[in-house]
Amino acid sequence: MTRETNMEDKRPLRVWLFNPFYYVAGGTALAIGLPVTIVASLNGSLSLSHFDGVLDFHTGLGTPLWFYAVEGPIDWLVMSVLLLAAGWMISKSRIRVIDVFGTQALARTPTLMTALAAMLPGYQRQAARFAVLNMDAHSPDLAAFDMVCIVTLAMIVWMVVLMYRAFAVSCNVRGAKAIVVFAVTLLAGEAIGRMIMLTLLQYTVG
Amino acid sequence: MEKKLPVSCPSCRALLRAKRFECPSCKTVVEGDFPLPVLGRLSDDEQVFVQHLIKYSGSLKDLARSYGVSYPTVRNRLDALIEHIQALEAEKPEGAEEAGSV
Repeated sequence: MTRETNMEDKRPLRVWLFNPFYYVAGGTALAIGLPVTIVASLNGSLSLSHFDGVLDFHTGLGTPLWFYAVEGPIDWLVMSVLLLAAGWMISKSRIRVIDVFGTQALARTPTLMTALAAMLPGYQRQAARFAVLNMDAHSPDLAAFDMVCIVTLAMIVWMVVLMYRAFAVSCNVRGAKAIVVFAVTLLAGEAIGRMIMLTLLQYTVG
Repeated sequence: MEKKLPVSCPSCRALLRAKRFECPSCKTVVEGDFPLPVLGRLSDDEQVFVQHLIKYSGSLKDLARSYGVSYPTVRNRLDALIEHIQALEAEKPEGAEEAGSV
């Protein structure tokens, strides 16, 4: 099969970074995104870090390994289900469930960078100090802590952009209506995700 | 150089109409005022897309693979094309009832 050319984008790097769903969706996106999300989530066990909400990242609480493993997938499932429902409500297109779930999984890949950044020893030492309310302003690890916070923030922003683009492509929605519906869904997802995590945490660590 | 059928006026962007046809063999000329068919009024890219869609038996999966893009990207493009065709069909071509002359 020959490759046609009239749909090629002239800025492929930008597209790959902020809208990879132009090229990858469905089962392929799921096959890449879900393992990465689980690895990122599990990686949190090495730094006591948790993705305990659709947009959350917290460090300091030790839990059983299975709890780390389910955090990322729960975040992904909550957002996928909510955005699928939102897509059915506002889109005129025929939506494939696998596209919504696949692209949302791929959109969570920046969490791996956050999980890796949190392994920085300086960040962990400083997080441990903050956990016991040690607010030493001259701590040598503050720079590492700040750096990881900046990386985390950047990755969350990137992830939200990817989640919106995934929603737009998989449900064929655009414009102000799509942005508002996405924002409301994201807030609902954050609330539902946090509730599920807190309930699970209650049964896990008491 | 491949010549492309112009569908809109380069000056005011209004849709063009065919006024004259000529048989390249016997030089018979048909003159009149003929609106372009809906598919003829699509943009070059849209016409190529329709051509490819037919070539791949309407399979969006195969078409997406041939373009090197994802399935929803192609499906969204098709949805936009459907909307465009519906809009063109809704337009009433002026003077469509006028007959041509030989």
